[in-house]
Amino acid sequence: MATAAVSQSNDDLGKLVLRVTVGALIVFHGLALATGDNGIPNNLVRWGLPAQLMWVGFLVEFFGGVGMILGIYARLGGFALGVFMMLALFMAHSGLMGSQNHWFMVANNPAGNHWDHYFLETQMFYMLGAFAVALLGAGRHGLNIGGKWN
Amino acid sequence: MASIGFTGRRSASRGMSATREDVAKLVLRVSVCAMIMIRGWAVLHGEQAIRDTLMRWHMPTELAYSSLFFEEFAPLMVILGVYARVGASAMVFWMVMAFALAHVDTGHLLQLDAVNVGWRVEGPFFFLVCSLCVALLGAGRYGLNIGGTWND
Repeated sequence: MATAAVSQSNDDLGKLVLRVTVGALIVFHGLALATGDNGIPNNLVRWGLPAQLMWVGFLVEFFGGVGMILGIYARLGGFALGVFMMLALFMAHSGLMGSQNHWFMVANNPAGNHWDHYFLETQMFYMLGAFAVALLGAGRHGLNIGGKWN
Repeated sequence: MASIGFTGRRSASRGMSATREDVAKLVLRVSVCAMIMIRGWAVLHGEQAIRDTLMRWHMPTELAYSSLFFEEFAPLMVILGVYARVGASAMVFWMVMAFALAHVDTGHLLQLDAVNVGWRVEGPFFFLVCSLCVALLGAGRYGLNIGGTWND
């Protein structure tokens, strides 16, 4: 029984670490979007969509992120963010509608003198981390609001 | 088939049923490890960043080849599900060293990325945290399932 209890708390700890990290980092992307980063608006316009749709993205990034951090409908926020990142991969990184296809590319290091990572590393971290939060749930540490959606 | 080799503690308590948790653990560990292996491959092919850092700390640049263990072999253990918690812990150690040697005294922790929107160390931080999560959560049911509680 002792081992079972330890393993349970390790599970909850892992869930906490994952959801706080994904949530906290995406919140800043949401804030950047709200304060004039035009990556998403540009892509929307290129697809013939109104740039104002970026505010849907802001809602997902900011409130989804905050929910994941605090444990409020964390599964819902994780799922929304995962879908949002899938859309980003299709609309901005797939080679469709004038975007570059980054799916099978490596990218350069900060010094710019050697390839060193998968081009969509960050995007993959957000998408898969968010889906992992959606599948794992928030665990015990948090506000625990949202029932089975948390 | 419940497992090959050792039956993990969790799969023993749950019987044969796979859960959403197992899927999440698979997704997390395979994505993190595949992407760190690309970075390790770059180091083995002459990418200089780790070597520069080692030189800055007056350490032998040959230490960069330890990425063969920490960025290729350990992630492979995790992907396969062979003592995954051990492999993930090795990856955590590697990322802690990366932060300690390359990102703290340089002030990267307080900087934004010059090229992309975001935190300067977003990538390394994700690697650190996700390996920590794999170490804490275990490999789940999908994999070779070797290593008992050291895996799942």
